[in-house]
Amino acid sequence: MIGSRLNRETALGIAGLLILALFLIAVFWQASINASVKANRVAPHGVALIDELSITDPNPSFISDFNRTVHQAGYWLDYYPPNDVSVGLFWALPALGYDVVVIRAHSTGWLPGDPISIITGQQYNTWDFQREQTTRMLYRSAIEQNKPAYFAVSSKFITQESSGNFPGSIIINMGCTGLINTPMASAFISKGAKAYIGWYGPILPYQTDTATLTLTESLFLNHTSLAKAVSQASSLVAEAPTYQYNGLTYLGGLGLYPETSGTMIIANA
Amino acid sequence: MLDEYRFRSLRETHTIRRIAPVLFIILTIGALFIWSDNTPFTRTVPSTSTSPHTSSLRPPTTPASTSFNFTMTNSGTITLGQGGSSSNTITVTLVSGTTQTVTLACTNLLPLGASCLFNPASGSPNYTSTLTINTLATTPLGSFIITVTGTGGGLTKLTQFALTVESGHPVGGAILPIETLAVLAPYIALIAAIIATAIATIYITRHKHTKETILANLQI
Repeated sequence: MIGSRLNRETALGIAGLLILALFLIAVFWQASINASVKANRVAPHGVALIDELSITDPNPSFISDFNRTVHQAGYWLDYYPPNDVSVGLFWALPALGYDVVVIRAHSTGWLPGDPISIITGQQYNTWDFQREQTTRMLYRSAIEQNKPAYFAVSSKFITQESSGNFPGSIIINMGCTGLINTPMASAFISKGAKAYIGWYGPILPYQTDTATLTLTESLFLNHTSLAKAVSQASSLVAEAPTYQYNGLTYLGGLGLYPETSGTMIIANA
Repeated sequence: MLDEYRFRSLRETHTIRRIAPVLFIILTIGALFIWSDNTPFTRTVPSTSTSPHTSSLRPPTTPASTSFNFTMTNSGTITLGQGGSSSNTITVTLVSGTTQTVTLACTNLLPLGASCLFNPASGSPNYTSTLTINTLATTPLGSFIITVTGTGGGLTKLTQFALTVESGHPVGGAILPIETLAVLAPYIALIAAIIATAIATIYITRHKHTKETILANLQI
């Protein structure tokens, strides 16, 4: 009698512990995105410059020229230096409500077998974002040999994880191979962006800076249509129609997705 | 009357003798001036003059090479990555004279592994040529002064611009494998701790139960 009672108590205790364990695991698993990141919508006519590339290739003149262009058109700029380019920023990005988002960041996808992702300025570790890591929403990425690794956000992260929706924004991805295929572009469009501009192949820092300045001047100051501005900026780099890099052949130039957004213009604020 | 005539004659003769040297000098200078006016090499004509009127006065035997002149300009600083290429537009402009073929070339002061290619490599001013500079992945980083020479009509002109070779790494990174075991380690540790707790609970419970049973038997 006593034995059966004890066995029942023991079984209940173990069951309780297991339930508690599962609850704790679920809490940790779901709470891996930094809950402290605020996704309060910014004021209208905002432009974001997300600058992870300055980790390896700082370009102060690009930033000042870009800032001047944006202000001349009556817009205002939020500049995110590498330390602020976190996974949390990409999580909050759609809900922040910028009209134009310029992502000056390394990206993956130009090496065979690598999927497209945007590299953040947040150093990689194994104890953050376990769920996102194991479900391939976040990657571990490297921009230099024998240097720290960084988190990289995948198209799946943008689609499934990021908060809110873009208010018909224009996304300019300045990194390599942002349009070598369409998952990343589609991810931003599915979250409410109207247009996505990216390179078909690998690009060098000074090339993308030069082309992006020309592109933004055409868009903000001359109010050129997206398709024409992209074409003009693309011609500066003089890579067409294909070129070789590290023995692989890539399409050259900047692209626009979807093509139907080509008639869009940016009006003065 | 005769004396008066002789006196006048003597006076005129005397006057002639006095002015003769002066006349001689004036005539000599005059003759030299007229002669020199017909001599080409003593005329001073500005070699760079472009006045049609002046040119028509110039003797046709003057060589054309002395009048041909040109200038060269470029489109400015270029920057490229190691292993990349970039272009500069060279403009050759006729300044004077009849145009002649001008051939372009880079000097030998290019950075290691870099090469110059002109399209076209020669032409008659006015014309422009696209200079493409190619570099290798091993071309040293830094800024260099590129000198382009143009040679034609016995003249050599040059134009210079700055070339900056930057790191050739693209704006891209690589995906590294994730060590799933390391990522899941906190959860594995948590589960292990719970299992250990459960085992300990069972052990303690059973041990307590056994102790109580023995004590009960002893009391009996």
